[in-house]
Amino acid sequence: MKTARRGWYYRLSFPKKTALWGFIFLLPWLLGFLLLFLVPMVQTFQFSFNNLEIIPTGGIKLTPVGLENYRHALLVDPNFNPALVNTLIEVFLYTPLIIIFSLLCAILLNGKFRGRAVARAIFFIPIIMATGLMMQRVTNLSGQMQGAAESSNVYGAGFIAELLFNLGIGKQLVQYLLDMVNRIFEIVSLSGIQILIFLSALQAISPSLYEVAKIEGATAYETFWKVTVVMVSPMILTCTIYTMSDLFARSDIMTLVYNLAFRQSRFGLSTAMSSIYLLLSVLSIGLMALLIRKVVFYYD
Amino acid sequence: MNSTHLTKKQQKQLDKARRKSMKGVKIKHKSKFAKALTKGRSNRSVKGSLTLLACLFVFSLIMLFPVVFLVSNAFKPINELFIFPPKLFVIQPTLDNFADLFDLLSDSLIPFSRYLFNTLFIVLAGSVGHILISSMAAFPLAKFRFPGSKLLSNIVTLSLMFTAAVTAVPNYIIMSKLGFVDTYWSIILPAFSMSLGLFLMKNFMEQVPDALIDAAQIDGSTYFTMLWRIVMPAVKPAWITLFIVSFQTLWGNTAGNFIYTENMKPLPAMLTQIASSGVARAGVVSATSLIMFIVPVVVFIISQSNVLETMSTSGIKE
Repeated sequence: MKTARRGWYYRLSFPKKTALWGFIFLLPWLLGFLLLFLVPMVQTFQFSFNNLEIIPTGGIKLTPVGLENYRHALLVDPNFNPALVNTLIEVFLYTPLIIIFSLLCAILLNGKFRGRAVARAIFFIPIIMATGLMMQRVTNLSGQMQGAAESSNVYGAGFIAELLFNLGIGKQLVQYLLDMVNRIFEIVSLSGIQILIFLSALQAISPSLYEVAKIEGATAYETFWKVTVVMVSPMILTCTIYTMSDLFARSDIMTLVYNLAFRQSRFGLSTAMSSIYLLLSVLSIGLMALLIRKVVFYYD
Repeated sequence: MNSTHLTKKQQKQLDKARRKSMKGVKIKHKSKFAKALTKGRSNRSVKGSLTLLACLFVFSLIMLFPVVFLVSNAFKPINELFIFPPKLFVIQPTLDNFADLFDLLSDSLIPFSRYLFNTLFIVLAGSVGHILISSMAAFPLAKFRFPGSKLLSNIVTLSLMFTAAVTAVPNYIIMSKLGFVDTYWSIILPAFSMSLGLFLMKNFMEQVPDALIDAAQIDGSTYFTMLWRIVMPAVKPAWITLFIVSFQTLWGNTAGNFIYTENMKPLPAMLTQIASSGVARAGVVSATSLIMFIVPVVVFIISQSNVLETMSTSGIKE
C-alpha cells in the first residue's frame, strides 16, 4: 500500500535506478556530442558530394555534383596532395618519439625526490605554451633563426654547430642536427597531455606488484619491462590514438581547409578535402591501434 | 672475507646482511646533502637520485629555453630585436615595448578591459562547464554497470580517434541555425562536449575505490551527493589539471569566424591584429606575447600544488 503511494520511482529495482541516473548524468554530454560531433561528422560527408552555397537571407543551398569535389581535391588542387603526404610522414615520425618521451618523463616525474613540485611545474610549461598564438610565435622565432643556417643560434647551440662545422662535418649534417634540436621542442610541447595520462596510469599500478617483484629478486630493469610497461600498456594504446589525432588536427591541411571554406567560400571542396583527410586519419589511427592492441595487457 | 670468490647472488645476500647489521651506522655515513636528496630514505641511492636530477635538468633546460627567450624578447629595445643572429639574453633592458603597447591600446575604440572581460568570460564559462559536464558523464561510466555503459565507453574512446577540427563548415552552419553565431556561446558550447575531458575524468574516477561509493549508497546518499561529496573531492587533482588544460586551449582561441562584432572579440583576436601589423610593431608584438603567456602561467602557479599530484584515495585497503 505504502509503496504504491510513493510513486513509480520507488518501485524501480536498484539496477534500473542506477541505469536511470546514469543516463541522466550522461545526458548533457551526450546531447553536445550528438549535436556538435556526430551531426557535423555526417554533414561533412554529405556536403562533400554537393556544391554548397550560403544564401544571404539565411540557410544553405545544396546542389549535388557527385564526385567533382573529390576529383578537384586530388587531381587539380596543387597544395592538397603534398600537404597530405607531409602530414602522414610527420605523424608516423613523431608519434613513437612522443610516446617514448612522455612515458620517460612520466616515470621520472613519478619518482619521489626533492623539488618534484618544481620539476612538474617546469614540465607543464609546454602545455601552457602550446596554444595557437604562442606556438606560432615560438615556431616563427625558431624558423627565422633556422633560416640563418650556418651560424644560427637556435637554443644557444650555435657554438656547438660552429664547432662541428669547423671540425669538417658537412653542412647538411649540422643542419640536420639543428633540425632535430628544433624538433625536440616540438615533441616536448606536444606531449603534455600524454605525460598526464601516463602519470595517472603509473599511479594506478598497485604497489603490491612492485613488492612482489622486489621479493622475487627482480632487478630495476626487469621490473620496468615486466611490471611498469605491461601495466601501462592500455594507456600506451590510448596515448597513441590521442597523439595521432592531435597531430592530424595540427597539420597544415587544417589551415588549407579552413582558408578554402572561410576565405574563398568554396565549402564543397573544403568539405571534400576534410572527408578525405578524416578517412585517412581514422584509417591510419585504426591501423596503429590494431597493431598495438595485440601487445596490450588488460589487468582486471 | 674476500668477496671476489663469491657469485653475484651471494654477494648481494652478503651485502643485504651487512646493510641490515649496520643499519644505524650507514645512515650516519650519509651526508646532510645526500639525506636531503633522497628525502632521508635509506633504500634510495645518492647516485640514482643524482642521475634522475641530471636527466630532469637537461629536459627542463629544453623546456625553459622558449620561456627565457620570450621574456627577454619583451624587454629588448627595437634595435636589439633585429640583431642577427638573435641573442638569447637582453643587453639593455627597456620597458618601451610595454609603453608602446599601452599607447596603442588607449587609442583603440574598444577599451582593453572589454577584450579582457570577453576572454575571461569565455575561458571561465567554457572550462567550468567542460569540467561539470564531463565529470557528470564520467561518473556513471566509470563506476556503474548498466545497459549501454560499455558501448558508450567504447564510443568515447573511439571518438578520440576523430579529429573534430575537420568539421569546421557544418559546425558553423549548426551554430548559425541555433542562432549562436556572434555570441560567446559559439565558442563555449563546442568546448563543453570535447571527449578528452570525459576520457581523462573517467580514467581518474576508476581509481576511486568502489567501497567508498558502496558505503555512500548504503547510507542512502543520492547519486548527486555521491558525485559531489565523495568522487569529486577524491579526484580533485584530475579536474584541476583538466581546468588548466581547457583554460589554455580557450585562452588562445581567437574566435576567428564565429564572432564578428568587435566588442565581443576575445583578447587574442586583438593581439593577433596588432601582431599582424608588421615589422614596425615588433617590440609591441613581443610585449603582447609575454602578456598572453603570463596569464596562464599565473593560473598554473596558483593551482600548481594540486596538478599531477598523487591521488590520495583514502586509507581503504582492497
